[in-house]
Amino acid sequence: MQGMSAYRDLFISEMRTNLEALEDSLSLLKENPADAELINEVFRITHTIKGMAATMGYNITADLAHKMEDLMSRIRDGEVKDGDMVLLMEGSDMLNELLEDIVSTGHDSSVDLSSLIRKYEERLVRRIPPSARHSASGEGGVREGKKDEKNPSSERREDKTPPAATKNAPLKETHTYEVKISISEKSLLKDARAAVVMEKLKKKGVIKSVAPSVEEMESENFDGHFTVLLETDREPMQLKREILSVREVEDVSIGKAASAPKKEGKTRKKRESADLQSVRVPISRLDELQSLIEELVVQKGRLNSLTSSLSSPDLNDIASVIESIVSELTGVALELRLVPAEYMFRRFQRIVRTIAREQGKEVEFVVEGEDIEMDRPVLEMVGEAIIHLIKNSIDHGIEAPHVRREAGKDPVGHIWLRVARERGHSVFVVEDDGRGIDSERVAEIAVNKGVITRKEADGMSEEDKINLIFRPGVSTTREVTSVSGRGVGMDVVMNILRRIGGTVEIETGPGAGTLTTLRLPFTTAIIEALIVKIGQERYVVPLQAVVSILSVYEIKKAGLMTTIANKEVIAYKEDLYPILDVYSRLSPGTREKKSQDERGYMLLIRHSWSKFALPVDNIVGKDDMVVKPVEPLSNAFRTFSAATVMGDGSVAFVLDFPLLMEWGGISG
Amino acid sequence: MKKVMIVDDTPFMRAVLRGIIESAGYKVVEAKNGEEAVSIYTKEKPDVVTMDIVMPEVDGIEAARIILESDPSAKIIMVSAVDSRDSLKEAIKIGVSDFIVKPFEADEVLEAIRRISEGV
Repeated sequence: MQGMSAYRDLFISEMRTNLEALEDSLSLLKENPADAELINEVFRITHTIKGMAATMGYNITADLAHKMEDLMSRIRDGEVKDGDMVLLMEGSDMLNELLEDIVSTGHDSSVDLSSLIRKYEERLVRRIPPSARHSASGEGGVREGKKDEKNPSSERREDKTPPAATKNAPLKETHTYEVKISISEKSLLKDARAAVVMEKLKKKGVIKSVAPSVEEMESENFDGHFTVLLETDREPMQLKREILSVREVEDVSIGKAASAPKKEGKTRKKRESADLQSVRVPISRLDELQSLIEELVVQKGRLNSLTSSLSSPDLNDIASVIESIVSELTGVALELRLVPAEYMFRRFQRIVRTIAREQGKEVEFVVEGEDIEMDRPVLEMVGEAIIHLIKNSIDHGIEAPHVRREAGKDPVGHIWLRVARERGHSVFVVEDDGRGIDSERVAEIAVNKGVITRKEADGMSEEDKINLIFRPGVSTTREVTSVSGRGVGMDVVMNILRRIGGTVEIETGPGAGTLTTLRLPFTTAIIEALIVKIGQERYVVPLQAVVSILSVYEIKKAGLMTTIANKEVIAYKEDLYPILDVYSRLSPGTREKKSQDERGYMLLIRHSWSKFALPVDNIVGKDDMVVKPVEPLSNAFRTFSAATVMGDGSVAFVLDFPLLMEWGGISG
Repeated sequence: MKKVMIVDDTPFMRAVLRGIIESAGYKVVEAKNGEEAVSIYTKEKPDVVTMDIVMPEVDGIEAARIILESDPSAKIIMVSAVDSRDSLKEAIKIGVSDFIVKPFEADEVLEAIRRISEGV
């Protein structure tokens, strides 16, 4: 909201009070984990902090407080788990840090929260206590009986309504109207707005039916259009005026409903058959199904390794049948979890409007391909990255209207978000027609920040210079914000994409706008993987990145290996693959040069735009793998962004190409 | 001059709302919890009430219920977070007039008040 600076001091002092209270309550709660009053208190404080921060526009603070509030509300419902307290304390510390950031810089954006937020999200997602197995969690779920049991007062009140309405029911001549109501796109809680309209209608007559049903309106997919059959003695025009007086109601049309019961029977029948064709399932149930299938895939792996060691034909048969069933099941479960991309991007319009207004800029935001269906977890993760990109586009890309006019551009800036599916990948493109990124500026900042040396900068291509913004410490600096670089958290974007095995590419130039392409595997859950051995360790390589596997013996025999500029390179089908000398890093103590060992193999890898060859000792096999993101424990452990459980129960790490390339001196 | 009562346990939120509402020429009274809201309502008879939902002791829903029971013509605008939808819907059933969602825009707040107080 504009003009909030006047409230900043009050905000800060009140945040301090709330944060102190939060700390006090949390340490008391630690001693008395079951104290309902304390739990409520902490819930309320986080709720208050969320509201204040959101009002001031400190969205990172608001987001963290929101997550803490969610966790508290679970705890309030009796779902306590080990580690909750630690996470809450960590959150409280982080809120303090964010506030100090706000005090000193006026923003809360230079602290990287992504790993803490992720911890909260994982905790919130995984929580499916046995007692609540059947209750819907989160938005978009189906509401059910349990809620009402918990809240007898609202139930009673609801029961009261029909008689009241009957009392109001018309004594004069009545008609049944079909009232079609449209709620504004902008409305944040369309179902609640619809409830306001219906309360109003109840006072004017008797509601015969509503479509979609009240429960269906709670779904994310409710688009704000609904139809009420109303029996009333009021005049249609008067009725229309009454409904339009409700805020956020955009359109009302009233028609005479066919009163013949025959027709009503027909519509009901139609609805019934539609109901039979689709079933609404809470998303938490699908998550449950997914994790069971993941477990099944792991166990299937164990079965496979057992089968190959026992060599029994009967067992082989069964194993291969199970294999194909599991793979089909995996596909079906994945399809179930698909949601239209719109699920994620609907709220982006509002975010764009809010930021643009704050910055005094005019921005038109266009989404293309929002009806393309995608895996929900992928959408949620990538959504976070896309918000970063969009914010950057508005903050730093799109110029103020007068600047654009002077430059001969349309004073209204444009941001396009395009969604597409391409051969096993989801592709998200964020493009703006703003001022673009000046590679020299970015290099300058990187040098000043000590991220690279002047000499390194001088030897860099334009593209490499632009890519510097993905390095930590470059784009998080405020200097970039005030010049024509990108602002906050491009390294955060990179981290998110890396975690889900995706890539980021930027095309830009001064005055030429910026086009960022995010490319990621269609699902994070299961990948086709190659298992290789390097030293004593087994590693997993996503098969989609492997162009070819060649033995060193073959390579030598065919003379594919040459040396260019002191570097060993494999020439394969008109492309050059520099050999990554990372062997000593992955298997310390190894001396011999792997490119000369004829017993070994070379994986030719294509990752993003880069190509390279990776020496390995042996190829163990190929399998479908469930890949889980690994929380970076420390920088030393950063080699691996993901891990998988092998058939024998051991853990293997998924090789992280960007890091290997960094080690091998190949720039992305 | 029309009178608006702001009910919120957070001084910050009260100050923000007061700023918005006074700038449009309304008289403002404040209540810092549900209990105070009920007693100040009977004393001051404001034309419009903005009511926060999450408050200690007597929360916004309960306060709205008590106020509406004593004065069914009371005009109450709930101030809700997106994820308080269940509470909000309960309030709507009780008979509150409108709601706004945090974080709100000044225009939204004023439009909600104007519609109600002018009886559009």
